[in-house]
Amino acid sequence: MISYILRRMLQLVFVLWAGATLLFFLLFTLPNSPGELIAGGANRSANPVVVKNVNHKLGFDRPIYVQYGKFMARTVRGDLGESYRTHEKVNDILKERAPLSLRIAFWAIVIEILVGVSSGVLSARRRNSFADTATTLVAVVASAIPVFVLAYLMKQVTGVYAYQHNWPGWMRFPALGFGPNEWYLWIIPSWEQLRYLAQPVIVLASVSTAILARITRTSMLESLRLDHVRTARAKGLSEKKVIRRHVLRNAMIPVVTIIGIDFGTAAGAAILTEFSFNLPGVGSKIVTAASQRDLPIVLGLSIFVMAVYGVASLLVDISYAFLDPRIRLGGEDG
Amino acid sequence: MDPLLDVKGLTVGFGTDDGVVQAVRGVDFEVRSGEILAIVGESGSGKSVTAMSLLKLLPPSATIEGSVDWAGESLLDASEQRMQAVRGNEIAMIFQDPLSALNPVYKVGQQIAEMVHSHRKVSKADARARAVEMLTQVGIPQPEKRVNQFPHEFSGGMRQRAMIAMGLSCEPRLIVADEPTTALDVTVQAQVLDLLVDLCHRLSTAVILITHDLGVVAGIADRVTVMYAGRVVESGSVDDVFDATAHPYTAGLLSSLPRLDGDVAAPLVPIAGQPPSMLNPPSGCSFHPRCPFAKEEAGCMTIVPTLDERRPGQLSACHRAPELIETGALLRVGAPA
Ligand SMILES: Nc1ncnc2c1ncn2[C@@H]1O[C@H](COP(=O)(O)OP(=O)(O)OP(=O)(O)O)[C@@H](O)[C@H]1O
Ligand SMILES: [Mg+2]
Repeated sequence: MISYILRRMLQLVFVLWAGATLLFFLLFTLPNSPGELIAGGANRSANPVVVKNVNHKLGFDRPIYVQYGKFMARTVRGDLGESYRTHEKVNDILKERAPLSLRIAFWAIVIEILVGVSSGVLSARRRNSFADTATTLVAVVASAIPVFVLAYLMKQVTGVYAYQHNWPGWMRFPALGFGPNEWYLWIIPSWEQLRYLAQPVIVLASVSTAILARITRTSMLESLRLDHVRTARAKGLSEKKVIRRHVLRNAMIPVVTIIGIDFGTAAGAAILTEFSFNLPGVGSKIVTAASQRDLPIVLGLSIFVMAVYGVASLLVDISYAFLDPRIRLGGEDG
Repeated sequence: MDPLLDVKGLTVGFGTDDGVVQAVRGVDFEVRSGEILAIVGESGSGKSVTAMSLLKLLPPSATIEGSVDWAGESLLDASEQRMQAVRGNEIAMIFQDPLSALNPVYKVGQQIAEMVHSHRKVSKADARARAVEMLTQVGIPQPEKRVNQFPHEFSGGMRQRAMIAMGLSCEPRLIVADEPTTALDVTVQAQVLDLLVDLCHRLSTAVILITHDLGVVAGIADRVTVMYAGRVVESGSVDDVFDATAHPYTAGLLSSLPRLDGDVAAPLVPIAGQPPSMLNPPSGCSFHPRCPFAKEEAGCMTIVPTLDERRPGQLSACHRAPELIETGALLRVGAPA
C-alpha cells in the first residue's frame, strides 16, 4: 500500500513537470513579442528600441531553452513567476484567490457526493419508479440549464425578490461578493459566510451533481447484474446488506473517478460561477490574464490548477486501492 | 421416506419484449435426504432457471408456478424473510464460474465468514475460525494464510473449493451445484467434483448436481433427471438410465459419450440439430424435430407426451417409449450400423 502511494506520488511529480513543460513551450514559442505588449498598447505600435530593451531586460531575446531553464529553476523553488504588465506575483495572486476557489470547490464536491450519489443509488434501487423518473428528469434539466441562467435565477429569487418581499432573513442570500471571509478550521464557514457561500456552491455543484447521479445509477445497475451479487443473495443476505456490501462498493469505482475530475474542474475552472457571483477565484483570473496575453500569469496559475487536478487524482487512486484490492496488489501480482 | 425436496409442475416464464420465454414447463423431481440427483441437459434446457427458482433468486421479470415442497414447507409461498433464512443455511448454491461468483473486493475468508455470520449468532473471531476450518476441509493448503487472500490470488480450482467451503459452512441439508466444474481446467474438474461429493456424503448433505455432461454423472450421482427444452424427458436411477434408457434424447446424449467398453475408433455422435428457442418451442414433443424416431402417427408432432413409468422407478416422456424399449432400438442409437 505504502509503495503504491509512493509510486503514484512520483508519477504525480513527473506529470506536473511534463505538464508545465508542455504549457511553457506552447505559450512561449507562439509568435509574440512580450516587449511589444508591455511597451505598446492596444492599438498603438511601440517604439522598436523600447521593445528591444524590454525584451532584453526580461530575457525574451535569449534562446528558448535558456528561458526554459530559468523558468524551471524558479518553478522548482516554488516561484510561479510574475505578471509582465503589473509585476504582480503569481504566488500572491494564489495566496489571495486559491483559498476561495478551493473552499467553494470543496463544498460543491460535498454536495455532489451527498446528493448525486444518494439520488443515483435511490434511482437504481427503485428502477422505473416515480422517484427514479423524477430524479432523471431533474438531472436532465439541471445539466441542461446553462450555469449563467441558473445563477441568474437564483440571484433573482433569493437575492432580489426575497429582499423586496421581506422574506425571513434565512431565506435571503446576498447576490454578489464573498462576504466576511470567516472560517472555522479553514474550511467551515461561519453563519454569515454561509449566506454568501450557499448560492455559488449550489450553482457550481448543479451540473456535476446531475451527471454524477446518472453515472451512479448506471454503475449501480451494472454492479447489480454481477455474478457475485447473485452469490450474496444465495447466501441469504438481506437485500440491504447485498446492496451495501456487494453492490455499492464495486459501483463506486467509476463514481470516485468522476468526483476527482470534478474537484479539479471546480477548483480551477469555475469560471462561469465566479463571473456570475463576482467572486475573485483562480479560474476567472486565468481567463482575464489570457485575454490580456499576460502569459506568466496564465502559465503560473495553470500550473496551480494542474497541481490541484494531480492531487485530486492521487486521492482518487488511493481510494481505488481501498475499494478494489486488485489495484492495490497489482504490483505484487504481475 | 418423504423426499427432502419435492418439486411439482414447476413452470417459469420470463416476460420479454419479444414475448414470454417459457424457460421451464412443468418440471417434476424430488431429492431425498443425503442423495445426489443429477440434472442433465443441453444449454438452454432450463437447468439454471430451475435451480434459481428453488431459492426464488430469479429477476422480477420471472413468473413462477407449481410447487416447491421443502421438508413439508411450501417455498413458493414463503416470505422473503423466510427465504433469506433458507438460502445458504438450509439450501446452499454453488455457481459455475467461481471467479465472478466471488466478490473481488473482499478476502475469501471474509466472504465465508459473512455466510456464517448471517445465519449463526457467532463472534467475528468464531466466524473466521469457521472459515479457516472450512478451507482446511476442502483441502486448501495453508488455510490460515489463504483465508486472508483475495479471490484473484487463488487458482481456478482453489476458488471453486472456496465456494464449496462457503456453501457447506452452515451445514445445509441440500446443496445445489450449477455446473460447478464447467469453468475449470479439465485436469482439476474431477478433483473438485470428487471433493464435493465426498464432503456431502460425509455431512449427509443432499446434492443437486447440474451439468450438461452426462459423463460426469456416472459413478457420482444416485439418480438422474434429464431435461430438454424446459421439460423433464427422463428420470431414474443412474444405472437404469445409463444401461437401459427409455428416451431417444438420453440415448442421443449417451451415444455422444466416449465409452470405455466400446470400440475406441467409433466416432462420437452428437445429437444433430440445435436446441429449440424457448420463445416458441416446437409443438407436441419438443424433441421431435431432432428425434430419429419421431412419427406422425404416434402423435410426436402434435401431442405433448406425459412422463410415465416405464420400469420401476424409471420415467420417460416419449410416445414411442414402450415400443422402442421392446425392440431395443434405443440401445443402438449412434452405434455403427
Ligand atoms: N432472465 C431471463 N430472461 C429471459 N430469459 C431467460 C432469463 N434467464 C434464462 N432465460 C432463458 O431461459 C432458458 C433456460 O435458461 P437456463 O439458464 O436455465 O439454461 P441452462 O439449462 O442452465 O443452460 P446452460 O447450460 O447454458 O447454463 C434459456 O432459453 C434462457 O435464454
Ligand atoms: Mg445454466
